[in-house]
Amino acid sequence: MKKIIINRVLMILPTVITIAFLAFSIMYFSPGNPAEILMRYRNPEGGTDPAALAHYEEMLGINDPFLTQFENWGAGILTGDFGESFKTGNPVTEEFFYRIGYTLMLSFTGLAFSLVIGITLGFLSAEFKDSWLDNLLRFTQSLKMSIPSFWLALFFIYIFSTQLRWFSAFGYNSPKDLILPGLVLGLSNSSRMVRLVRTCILEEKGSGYVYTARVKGLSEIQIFFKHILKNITLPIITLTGVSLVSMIGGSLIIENIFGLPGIGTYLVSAIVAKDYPVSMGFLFAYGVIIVFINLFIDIVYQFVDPRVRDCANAEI
Amino acid sequence: MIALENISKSYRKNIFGNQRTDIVKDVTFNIQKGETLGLIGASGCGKTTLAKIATRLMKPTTGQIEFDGNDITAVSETEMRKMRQQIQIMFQNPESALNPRIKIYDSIAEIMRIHKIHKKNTADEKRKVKELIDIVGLQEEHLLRYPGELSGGQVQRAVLARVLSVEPKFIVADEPTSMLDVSVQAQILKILKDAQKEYQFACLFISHNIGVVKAVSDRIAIMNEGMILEEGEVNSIIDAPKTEFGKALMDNYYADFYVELDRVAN
Ligand SMILES: Nc1ncnc2c1ncn2[C@@H]1O[C@H](COP(=O)(O)OP(=O)(O)OP(=O)(O)O)[C@@H](O)[C@H]1O
Ligand SMILES: [Mg+2]
Repeated sequence: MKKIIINRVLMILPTVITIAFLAFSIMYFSPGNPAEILMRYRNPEGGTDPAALAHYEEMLGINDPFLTQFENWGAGILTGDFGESFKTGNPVTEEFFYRIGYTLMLSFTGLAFSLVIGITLGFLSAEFKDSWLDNLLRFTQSLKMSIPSFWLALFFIYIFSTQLRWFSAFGYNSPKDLILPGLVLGLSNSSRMVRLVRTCILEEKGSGYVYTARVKGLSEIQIFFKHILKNITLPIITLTGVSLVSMIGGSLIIENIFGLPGIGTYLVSAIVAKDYPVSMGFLFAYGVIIVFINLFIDIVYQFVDPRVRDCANAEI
Repeated sequence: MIALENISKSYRKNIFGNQRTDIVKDVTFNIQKGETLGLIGASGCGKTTLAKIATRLMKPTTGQIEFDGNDITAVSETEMRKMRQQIQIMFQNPESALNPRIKIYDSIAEIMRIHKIHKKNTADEKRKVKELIDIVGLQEEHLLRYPGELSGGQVQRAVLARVLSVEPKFIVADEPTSMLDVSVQAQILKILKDAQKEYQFACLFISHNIGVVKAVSDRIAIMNEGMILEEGEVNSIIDAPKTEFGKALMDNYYADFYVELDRVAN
């Protein structure tokens, strides 16, 4: 077990280097000349003066060999310097920390929804095991896996924003605007939670203490909240931690659809605007965050209930 | 007090098709107020299933259950919950009988809260719990522990305290002492017997240990493969069983008994 953990930790370094390399290469090989783009941002009316262009090329060092450029960029990263945004001129790190808050808020809202949905549906599925309701729930769980989250998002926007007008469809003005995107994110990542809760409840239901609780005269809902829940919180909490990765990953698309000012939206607009330092920096940061959460999860797994492992490893 | 008439329970063998296995077959018995019926049978013969049916934790496939003059075979779960106070059961395995994450005090007191006998953590409730643990032989320090921090015997004492707390009219004891050693077994059985003298509940006592059943029962029923083969006064069943199965069971019992006697003597 110790060996596995040490192994995982040692793997971090090569993984991070690979991410940096990929983030850099994607932008390096994408068509377009960064110097030209920077020049346009700095001086929109400047035309195409070859001398000025040469100056910007010199400044960015884009005529250096590939590896030299990668080394320079990498050396900056090591000191926490990701350069400045072409567009705004602000440091990339500043842009990042300003926006990560929205991404985390969205991720945690999604997590909360997936927890509520998972526990409710998991409970119903277990309670009415093998009934039409259980079958319907299980069918929709697998159906949901094959529905892309953006489709769900558009569907929800149509229902709740366009038709019912309960929520605004785009942008962020108040925490209320997190509800709809959070719901979509939570819903599209809740299958594992539903299944885990169902499995755990069914297992606990065979225990003597559940019969004892029934003999005492508790209803099934009381038995769940007063007795079973206490015994299955640990696996639920673990899977919640695991789900955070899916949430952060999934937030990229959801943020863009709902126009939330998180890092996902900013990354996409930076790519479109060919804002090289931001694109590279954010791609790198996304990768590193996910690597670290995965590392954390791998370690947690070593100590965890096998039921969680099964549910977390299944599909997606 | 309690009467089962022609009770059967069957399970579907396979998901498709309609083959069924009968776990309990056409069982009929009744137990009077203050009386104990001992139920003996080999492992897997359907004793626990019958116990769950008698306490309506499970519905029988066919047959009738009459409790205190009322037919409870088909009453709804909601109705049944109100009657739970009067029908209690102790299970075989002390390890899982209590919720591992709830302290002994609350495990005992919960049933009184549900049936509105005492409110949570009131002085009355505390006094009652203390009274109960005196009867079953637990110390106050045990109340703040979790089930995992007690021995099997102590857990069964706590279970007994819960059972007695609501003064039920009918108690099923499903091998309550089979996992405990002999001296603890004897103590717990004595507590149950003494309580019965005081509260006059009807008791279905299940065991595969004939010695234990003999010690606590007024009548004995012998069960095999889901059926009750014979039933009668303790001594008549033990001394003169009428069925082949009963004879074999008693022969075994006496053989074991002599082996044990031999062991103690030498
Ligand atoms: N839900 C179920 N579905 C199908 N068969 C079951 C089910 N529950 C119990 N059985 C079967 O019914 C039979 C009787 O089980 P039961 O627990 O009543 O036996 P028992 O006499 O209490 O045994 P033991 O002395 O080991 O406690 C067993 O063969 C068991 O496998
Ligand atoms: Mg049994």
